[in-house]
Amino acid sequence: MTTFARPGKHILKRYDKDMRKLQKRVLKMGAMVADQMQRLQDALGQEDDERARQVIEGDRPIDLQEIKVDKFIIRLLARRAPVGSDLRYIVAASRIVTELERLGDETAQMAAALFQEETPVAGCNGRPAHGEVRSLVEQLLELFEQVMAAFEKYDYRSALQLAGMDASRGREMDKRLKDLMECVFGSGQQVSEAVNFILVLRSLERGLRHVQNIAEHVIYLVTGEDVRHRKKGPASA
Amino acid sequence: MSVIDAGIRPDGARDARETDATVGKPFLEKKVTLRARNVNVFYGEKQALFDVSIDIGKHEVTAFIGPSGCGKSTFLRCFNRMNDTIDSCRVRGEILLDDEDIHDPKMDVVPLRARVGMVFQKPNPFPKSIYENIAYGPRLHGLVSGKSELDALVEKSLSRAGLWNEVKERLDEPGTGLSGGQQQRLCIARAIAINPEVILMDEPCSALDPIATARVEELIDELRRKYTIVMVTHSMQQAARVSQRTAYFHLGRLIEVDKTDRIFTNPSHELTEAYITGRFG
Amino acid sequence: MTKRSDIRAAVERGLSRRRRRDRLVRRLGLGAILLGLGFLAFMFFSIIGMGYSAFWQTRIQLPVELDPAAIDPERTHDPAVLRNADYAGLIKQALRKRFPQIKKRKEKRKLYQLVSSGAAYALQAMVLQNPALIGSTPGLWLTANDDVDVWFKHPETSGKRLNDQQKAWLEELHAKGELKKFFNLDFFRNGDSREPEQAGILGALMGSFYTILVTLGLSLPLGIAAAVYLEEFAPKNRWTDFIEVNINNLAAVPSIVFGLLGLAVFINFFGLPRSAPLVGGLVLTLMTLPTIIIASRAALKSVPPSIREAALGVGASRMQTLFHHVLPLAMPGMLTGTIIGMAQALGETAPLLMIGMVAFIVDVPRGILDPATVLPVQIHLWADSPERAFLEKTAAAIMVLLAFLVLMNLAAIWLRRKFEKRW
Repeated sequence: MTTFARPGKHILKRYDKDMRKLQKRVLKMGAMVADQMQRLQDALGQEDDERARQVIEGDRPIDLQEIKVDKFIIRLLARRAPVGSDLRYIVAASRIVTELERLGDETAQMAAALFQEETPVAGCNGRPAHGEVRSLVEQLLELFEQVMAAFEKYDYRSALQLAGMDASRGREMDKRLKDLMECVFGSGQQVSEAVNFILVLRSLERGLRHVQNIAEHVIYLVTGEDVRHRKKGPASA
Repeated sequence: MSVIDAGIRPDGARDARETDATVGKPFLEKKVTLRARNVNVFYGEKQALFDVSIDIGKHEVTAFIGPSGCGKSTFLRCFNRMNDTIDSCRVRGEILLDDEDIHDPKMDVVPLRARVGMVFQKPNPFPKSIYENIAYGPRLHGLVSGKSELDALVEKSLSRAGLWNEVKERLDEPGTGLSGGQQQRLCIARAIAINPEVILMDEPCSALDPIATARVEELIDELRRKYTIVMVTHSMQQAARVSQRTAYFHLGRLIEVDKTDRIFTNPSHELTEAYITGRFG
Repeated sequence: MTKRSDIRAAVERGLSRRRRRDRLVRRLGLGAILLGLGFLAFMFFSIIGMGYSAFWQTRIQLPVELDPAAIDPERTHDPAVLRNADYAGLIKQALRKRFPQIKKRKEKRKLYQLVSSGAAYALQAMVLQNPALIGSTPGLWLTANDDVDVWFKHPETSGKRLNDQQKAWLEELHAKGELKKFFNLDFFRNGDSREPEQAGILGALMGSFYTILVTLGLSLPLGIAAAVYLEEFAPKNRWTDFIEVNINNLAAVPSIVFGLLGLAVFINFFGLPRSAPLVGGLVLTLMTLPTIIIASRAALKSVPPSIREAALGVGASRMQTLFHHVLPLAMPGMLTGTIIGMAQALGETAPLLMIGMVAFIVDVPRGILDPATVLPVQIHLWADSPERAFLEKTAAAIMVLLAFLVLMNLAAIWLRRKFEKRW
């Protein structure tokens, strides 16, 4: 056995029920964010303004869900006075919810930047911006789904890879984003045309950070180690 | 592999060897008031404590937690040899109070108990006046000479226990007429009247309501500056609130001891985790 | 499936039956208490009804001429002379003077019977105390004979031992106010006597007092010491178990066995005097010890362990814990046990019969070595006597015994209060 076991059952059955409910609600919020990203990806593939508008409007239910989960967390803190793994789980869930809300915001902002402008955003090296962004969104979505799976399954090793970005995927995306950014700046395009594209790239970058943060929160909830704001990878060293 | 023996490390790998070793930090480098090494306690044939070793830091509140019958009270009573009063009870191992072995045959229990005071689960004032309750100990040990000195000591002890203003008008009334919380503070005042180094508290708040509990907890926190306090508690919240270090006992073994903050956010041992989060099935 | 309403109906049905049973049990308990109280009241009424008259004494007023020629012809005022005078003769003479119409010898003898034989001793005592009276003729109230006493108190139900002539004389005396009832001081200041009108309770009372004094003085310290040792210091092993079983069994041994033991050990072996309160006290000590030990141990056990812990916790030694805290708290319980034991001892007859305290003793004992009898034995003796007049004495003695018991209990209550106040 090399992974942490998920903690056993409480003597109070209601406590277990509450904890399961919390997990379900966080996962539901995660699924909502994932849906938004999927929709954005679809919209980008089909140049579909209608879908893009749906993405922008779809941020509102996520915000509402955040409020709902937050309320539930406060209730749990007040009623259960959690300690140990329960405390870590609830704190991590609270932080994850915040990250999810921001991730939802970023998704909506990307949709707004890409579709609400009359002028199409510029590309890079002749490649169309939309295509490039689409593949990046797809990659972000994939990472995001991984981290949510890690949260659901208590998989702290997977979270470690995601957080440290030593894994190929995360690092690869990071690199692609940097390249694109350099390319946009280097291509000598007009700043006014490139602004939207840069905004989208920034959003993607921030989205990636949020995913990494969620991974850190998962590590915290499983091991109790706070790995935020560290240069190097977590305690595996 | 039984659960008790399986320590796990923060990196997720279980300790491979089967061990009874305590996890956490049983020994301290800073000032230590009480040192226990390999303490074993037997009630007749039955062993109640197994090889408990721990340091109690000076001017710290150390909390012992654990399920009923885990030996925490038994261990607490080793520190002032209260177990001597039980015929069938035998204590093996070494307990040092400021580097003096308290089980040394030359060590008399009377001065030991003057140095290690005790407060019990149920408030147990003597059925005498409030004044007599406080004055009994100092008079017994001949700590004061003269009535005025004794008066001053009674006032000081009661003040330190935060009870003076409540009882100064009725020192002649019986101590048993006070409320439960006041009685317990009277018992604490009685303990500090003989100016001990260590105060042992055996579930001092289990018979009190939340407000009285809060008062006693506040008092414990204040007393920490002058005394070393070891307390047994069934309330994990209380251990979390008032102690600096927490030790978790299970079936007669010291499972884990560490800073209270760590025990309550990220305990190292599965059993500690299961106990503090309410997962014993 | 039972509907809720069905369940409720079933409960309702059962409820009235349950209440009926509750009431029945309550009434049975109340009935038992009332029955007990009834018997108690009956006992008190019958004893007081029978015994109150013993506190009154019938006396006859006679002018007795203290003729110097008869008492002290040579006027020596020598007590020896005064003591030997014929006071009975003086009384007879006074009677003859009072009833000059009586001439026949037989009738005269009947007349002399009206006055108690003790009256002569009372007259002697009076003269000895105050020789100046010699030569005067004081109107003295002389104690009447017990038959007169009984007849005067209960004229309807008695009087068979008096003939009509005697009754007529008495009627005459009564009509002239020369036959009256006085408060019976003799009952409280005399010892036992063959003559009922002279028999008093003081001898038995003092006997009981000395006996209880010896019992208390021995059994209280012994019992408490034994209880403290067994409860606080004795190791728990077969020996102490054996002792414990024996103490419990001793409490159930018939008291006469202790009497035999006392006879064999204290009188035959140690040669202590028979009939003495000392021996009685020793025997009763043996008898009450188990009671006191058991009660004292229960009292010690009932002291909460938290008090011991508190004392040990502030550094008191075991001895200090015991004397400063445990014993004061256990004291009321120990005293209660002791008082129960003393009450038992006070009412005990059988073991004292064995050691000779049943003897007829006229003198009031002045110490624990004087021959004595005790109240219950006195009651037993009087109840056995054939004279009608002893009936009321018996009842009166019972009243005195009960009063003694009540006094002891009051003392116990007072002591308890006093000890309890201290905490």
